[in-house]
Amino acid sequence: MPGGTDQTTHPSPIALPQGEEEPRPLPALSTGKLLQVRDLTKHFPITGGPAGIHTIGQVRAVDGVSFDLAAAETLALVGESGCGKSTTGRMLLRLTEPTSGSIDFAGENLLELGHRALRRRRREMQIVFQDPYASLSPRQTVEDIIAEPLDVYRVCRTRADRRERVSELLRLVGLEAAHLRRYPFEFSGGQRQRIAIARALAPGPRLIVADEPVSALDVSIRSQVVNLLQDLQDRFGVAYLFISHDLAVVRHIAHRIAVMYLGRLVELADRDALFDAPHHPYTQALLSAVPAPDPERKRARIILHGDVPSPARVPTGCHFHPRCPIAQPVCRESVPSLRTVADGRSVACHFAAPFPIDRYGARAAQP
Amino acid sequence: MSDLAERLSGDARRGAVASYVAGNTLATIGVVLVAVLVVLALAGPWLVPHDPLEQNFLGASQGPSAEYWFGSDSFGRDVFSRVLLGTQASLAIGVSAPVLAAVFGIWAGMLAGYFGGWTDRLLSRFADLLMSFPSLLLGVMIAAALGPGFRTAIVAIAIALFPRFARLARSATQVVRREPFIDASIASGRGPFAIMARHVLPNIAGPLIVALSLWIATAIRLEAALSFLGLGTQPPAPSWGNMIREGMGDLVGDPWPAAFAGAAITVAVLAFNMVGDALRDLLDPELET
Amino acid sequence: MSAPLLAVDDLRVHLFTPRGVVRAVDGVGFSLPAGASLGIVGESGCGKTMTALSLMRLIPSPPARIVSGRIMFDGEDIAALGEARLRELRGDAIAMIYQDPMTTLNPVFTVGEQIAEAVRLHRDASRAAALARATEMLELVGIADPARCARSYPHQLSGGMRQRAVIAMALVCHPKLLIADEPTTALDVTIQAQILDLMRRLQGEMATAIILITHDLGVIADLVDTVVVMYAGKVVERAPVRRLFATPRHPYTQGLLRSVPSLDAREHRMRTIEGAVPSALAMPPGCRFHPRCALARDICRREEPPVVGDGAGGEAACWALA
Repeated sequence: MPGGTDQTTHPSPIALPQGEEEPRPLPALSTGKLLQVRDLTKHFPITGGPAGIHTIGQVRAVDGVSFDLAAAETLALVGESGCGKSTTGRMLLRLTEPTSGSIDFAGENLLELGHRALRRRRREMQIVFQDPYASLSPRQTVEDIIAEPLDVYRVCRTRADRRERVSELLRLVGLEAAHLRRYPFEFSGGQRQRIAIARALAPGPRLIVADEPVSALDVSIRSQVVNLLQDLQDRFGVAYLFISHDLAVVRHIAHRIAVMYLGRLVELADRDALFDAPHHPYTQALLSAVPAPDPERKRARIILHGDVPSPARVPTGCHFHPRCPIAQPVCRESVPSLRTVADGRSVACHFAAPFPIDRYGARAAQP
Repeated sequence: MSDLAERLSGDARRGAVASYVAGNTLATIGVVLVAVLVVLALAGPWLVPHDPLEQNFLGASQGPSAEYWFGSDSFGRDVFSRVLLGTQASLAIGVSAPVLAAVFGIWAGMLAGYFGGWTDRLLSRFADLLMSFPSLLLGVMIAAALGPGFRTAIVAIAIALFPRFARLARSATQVVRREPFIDASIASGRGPFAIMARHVLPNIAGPLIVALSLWIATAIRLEAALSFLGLGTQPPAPSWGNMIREGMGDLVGDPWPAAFAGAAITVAVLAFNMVGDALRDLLDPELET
Repeated sequence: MSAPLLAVDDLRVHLFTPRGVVRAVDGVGFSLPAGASLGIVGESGCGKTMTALSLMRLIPSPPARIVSGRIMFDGEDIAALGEARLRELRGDAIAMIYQDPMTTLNPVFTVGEQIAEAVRLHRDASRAAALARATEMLELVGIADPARCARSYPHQLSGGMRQRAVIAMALVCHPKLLIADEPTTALDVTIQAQILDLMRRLQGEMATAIILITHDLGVIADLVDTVVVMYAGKVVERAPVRRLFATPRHPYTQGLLRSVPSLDAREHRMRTIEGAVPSALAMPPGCRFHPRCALARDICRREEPPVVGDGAGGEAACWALA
């Protein structure tokens, strides 16, 4: 698997000339981890009362999430709607300010940075959004859109230099330099997403948060974009936090997978380990619910009862207990913490047990 | 999801605008009328057949004739010339006051919509306060405080229209603020004011331009009302409003000054409304073709 | 063999826009026996939603129009029927559910009232009787507290419950045909599993014929008997579901199946189909798939391919098979 832990000799992504604004020289990576997130939390207050000032409750969107990410690694963050995965991604870039916790990026706590320092750091972390139609400013040309990070950090000295850089980025993502002067509405969804990726790549980031980047695209285009992301990772060593609800897509691109439910991580494991033998009952249900494009497959489906509770009214104890097929009284009372149960695998469950794939993935007997 | 003008690029866009206007009678009439009004306002002093201020007691209070096309008023002044020159005052105030209101109102609205929180609360309460006065009453109060005249009329109308632009800009900004491309710009390192100027403003411009043309129509009416009350353009300089005021004295015997001045107000308001509607069809993102 | 419940014959639906004519549905045909299920699969712009809407004559009439073809439903040609008869059929004999339950449900009426309205439009029933029937139906679709749900407004229910309510509304008059347009696309995976389970069960219990429109091949594999694959307004392949997945014959179907990520795949890279769906206003001549097809020959660029049967109940439109 690509992506080792020692990254001190890693090439700088897209070598850039010295502009007026340079990132501060970074301290040597001590642990080899690019990103260390600890107990990240986001609670949104629910206001009520006559003037809308009183806080009557909390939406616990993200409730103490911790994980690591190494350079050039892809960590997938999966879960259903309302689980807090998008909010987590946004908090890494401080597009949403966390309520508490810490985000250690290359040895520096992002949450302690002031505006200027944060702005310099922003160069190293970028984001690609889900909606290719709303993530590009409709009234800017493709060149201006992609060059925005370059403009902000004053990377290019001349217009010609800027154009050259943007053309190079366009070629990298599989588009043509002729597209510079066009507007977003002239492109298809897949092409717009490529433009968004080119923009994210422009300042030479070490981390890209990809928030459901292919969910809004056609099936045959999804694979093109996922392959592109993988190629860019192989080439430039950029790490991805790949947020998705689609486990099948994640199977291809991720090195490790973190499963979220209602604001908390329930399982964190290496890719093959997770798919072969998920330990947490929610992961097991999630995997068994994915419809397989294979009519021969007879699935022993785990159908969960009820709906996903609202993050405004989170159940006590383990968040999953009301829908869990193996819930016991202790699950209602005490919160299971994310414990390492094996090499590279952590589970948050009082009764985690492996549930090998052949239990629910058995093929019907072949003729 | 994009409006018609946005879907086309460059030349195609200009061609589409032209063909839209040509195809739509009301739009054409509106554009032509506005163009005529602008020409009259700019070239008025050279186009008048008679000196609008020249009094002629012998020919006073006459109906339309070969010499006085719109008749003459109680001072014997040519009504046609006065109406024509009045275009200058009405359009000058009618256009500059909303533009002034727009410049301040749009920024205030953007700040409120973008930052939310206390910025929004303060600016919104302020705008609500201004809006709670009927615009005319507000104009009267300001004119009373500053003394009547050309500049007062502009300030009064601008203050009355400011909160309307602010509200419109605020709600449009709130919608745009939520779009991912704003977050993308933040992630690229842009500061909030640069984002507002580069990203928010162009994307909220459509409805604001429509509002501007419609508020120009309103401003023309308001100016006429202020002048009618004696608080706007002062006589003897002609303004449609003060012509009506003067004409009130002898409405039965000599209706011509008031009638033609009133007709001029109607035409101008109508013209800008038609142009505003045409702009809405072209620019409003909500309208799908 | 009795006549099928639904037989679509050479359906063509064109959109007349200021920039040109879009041939959204260009010669689509298929048939569906009573009680059976058919899936229409394809990516955006393939015409599947337009086809579905035409079945109930719900296409937006400027700019779209059915220019030719027949839609034989239970002996009547829907393409030629008058508006009054169509209204009798809609909601009663043919029902439709859409992707987004929030737009199907009127936010200012309770769920029970809306289902009851469907009842009273087509049956002679008092308000009380209709509401009772609505509550019955809500229970049938698996809602835990049907009386309370009937009294609720759409915004008070979760996505899964809303979609169940929409299904209840569609099935309350026991339609012979249910058209489901991407019914689970907007739902979470675990809720999707619940809804698909429900649809399977209801199909068995109520013997309704189902047309399921989706881009998700996994959903299709689970639920339907026959699959129709559409591309750029045309049917490129039609086959029984097992045959289609086991041995797809049209290059587009093959590419589509390969590019669908599956949980079992161990490959590092996903397979793709190069290129993109052609713009509706600039359709390539000949076979519409030829610009993206690895097997494209000269004739593919000039003439539209014939439909070739495979002797096992399926057919595909491809020169390579002729």
